[in-house]
Amino acid sequence: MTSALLHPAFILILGGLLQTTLPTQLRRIFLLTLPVLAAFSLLSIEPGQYGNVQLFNYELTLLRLDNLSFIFALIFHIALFIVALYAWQEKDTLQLASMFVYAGGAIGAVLAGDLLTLFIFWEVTAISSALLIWANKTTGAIRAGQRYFIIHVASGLFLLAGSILHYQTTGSLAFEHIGIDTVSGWLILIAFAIKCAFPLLHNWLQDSYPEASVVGTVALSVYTTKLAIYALARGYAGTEILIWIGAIMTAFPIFFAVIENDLRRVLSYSLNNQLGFMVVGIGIGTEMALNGTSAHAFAHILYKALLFMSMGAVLHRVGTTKASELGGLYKSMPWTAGFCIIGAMSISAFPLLSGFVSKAMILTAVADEGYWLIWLVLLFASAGVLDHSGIKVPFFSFFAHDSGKRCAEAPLNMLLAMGIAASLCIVIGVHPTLLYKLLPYEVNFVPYTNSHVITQLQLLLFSALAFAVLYRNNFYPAEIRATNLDFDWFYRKPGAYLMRGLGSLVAAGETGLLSSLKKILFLVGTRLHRHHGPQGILSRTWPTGSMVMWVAFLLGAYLIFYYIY
Amino acid sequence: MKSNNEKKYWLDKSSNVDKLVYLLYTACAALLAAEFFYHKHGHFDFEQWFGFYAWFGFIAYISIVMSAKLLRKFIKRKENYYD
Repeated sequence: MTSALLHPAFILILGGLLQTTLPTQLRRIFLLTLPVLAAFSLLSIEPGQYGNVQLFNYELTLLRLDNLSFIFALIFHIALFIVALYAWQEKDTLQLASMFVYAGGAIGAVLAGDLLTLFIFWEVTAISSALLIWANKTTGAIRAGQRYFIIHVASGLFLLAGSILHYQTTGSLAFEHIGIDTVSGWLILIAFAIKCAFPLLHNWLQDSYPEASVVGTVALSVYTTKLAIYALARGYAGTEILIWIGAIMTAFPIFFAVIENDLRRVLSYSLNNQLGFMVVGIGIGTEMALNGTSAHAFAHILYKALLFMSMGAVLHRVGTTKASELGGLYKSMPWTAGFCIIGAMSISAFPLLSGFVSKAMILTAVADEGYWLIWLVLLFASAGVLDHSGIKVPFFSFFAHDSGKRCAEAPLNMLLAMGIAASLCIVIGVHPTLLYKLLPYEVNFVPYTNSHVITQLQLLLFSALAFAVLYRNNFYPAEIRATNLDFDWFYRKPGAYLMRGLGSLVAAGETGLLSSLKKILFLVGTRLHRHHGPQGILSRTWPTGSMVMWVAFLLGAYLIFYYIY
Repeated sequence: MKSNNEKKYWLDKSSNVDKLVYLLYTACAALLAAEFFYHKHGHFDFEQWFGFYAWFGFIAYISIVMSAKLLRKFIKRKENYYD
């Protein structure tokens, strides 16, 4: 790399800012070309470390390309191209700029060779993604964006504090394996955990993603959390606690997804559950497991973006993604429905689709290490995925009871973007070796065996059978307009009351303090007036009189101090 | 909006929906029958139980949906709860 301008992240960030000055048609083509240009730059770089900079005493490495950073950087580029096509008609250039800076920031972070560079790009993604949420301009988006921003800035602070401490203990800022044996290791883990939406730190995701715009949510679904997955894989591979955390992550969001009415929020819970599989893989930490995590991140970005795009198209045409208001849309939007079903089947891991060839690696890696309970939880969660993403999302929007809503099919650019993502889901599913070649380690895994295909189909079709039985006997929970409480309740209700209470206490204290101060000033004022005012004792003579008195007072005080000491 | 004389779709007929459900039943039956015809290679002993994946999936699905329904009793609030 001869020039910093060739760094894919800088191409995207600068290009993203530059496009605001371009006329509409030129801007559209320019935005579609940018990810291609950046991807060419990425592909032209030989593995290694570049951009070594000495900043004060710190050795920084702006770009480190190896097998692990490559696959994440590559899928980030592919996803950006798809998102840019999906956003072809977007007029809000500020939103487009945020999107490209955000993607560039995430790519920069994935390619960062040291913790300080990582921190800088980490914050770039935090700010730009918050702008992306705010770009929707609704009250809900602005409030959710504020909560999102605070939480992500906090993540950045943990990363910074951890990195400084890490430097003090190890003398190096290089971003390699960190582990949890040190305080700095824990601090950095917390930073990653927040961004990765670990259980109880997760609610920023379900809170903010459904509030962003049609285009914004798709971009958001790609970067932040998968950047965190990359960072965890780099710094904490083989950390056993992650296996258990990941297993909890796969299971608990399912229950919320089943009863959630807003389908974009259902997909956010589902995203959280998918991250759980990847975190389990990182915790296992074997080559097979890390391959599984990388493959699953790659496949997941495509089908999750596809699902969010299909729901975005519904939002764009119908104006809502609430399951209670939808149904029967396949009549108006047959292509969108078809693409959505491909995404839904991919995430459910049906054979011949991408999720099948990636998730299986993680499950096999877990079984190889003998974690039978974790394996059962993942299998249980897989049945859950089939419910909320495999069935619920396509079924209640495009089929179920006909809502009577009729609209136009999604715009051509959106269909093309969904078509590309859907094709990639199929290509990966049919030719898994294409994906396996990109993985960080050599792959010794055959996804298509009789045993694996049949057992997976048994799991999925019998789950579908359970749905059919429940739905046709009216046991399936009805789609109703409601808010379901989750952990964010603690900071949105009692937390908010507490802060408001503290605020009014401070305000009350302030008023009290001010009024007592006023009283004191008034008293002093009246006293001064009495002695120094026109009728005052001390103003009857020249100020020299009072000066002499003060000098006498000071001398007296001096004398007293002199005696004491 | 919906007009009265719009095209009738294949899925509009409930007997066709039934056909799809019967297709699912048949597929499930065929998958269970397949248990006799292939060598299952798994990691754990319980994977060898007859139709393990089938009944695990069925029971898991039912328990997820029913417990989520129960969860709703505790966490459901009005739609504008946070506004």
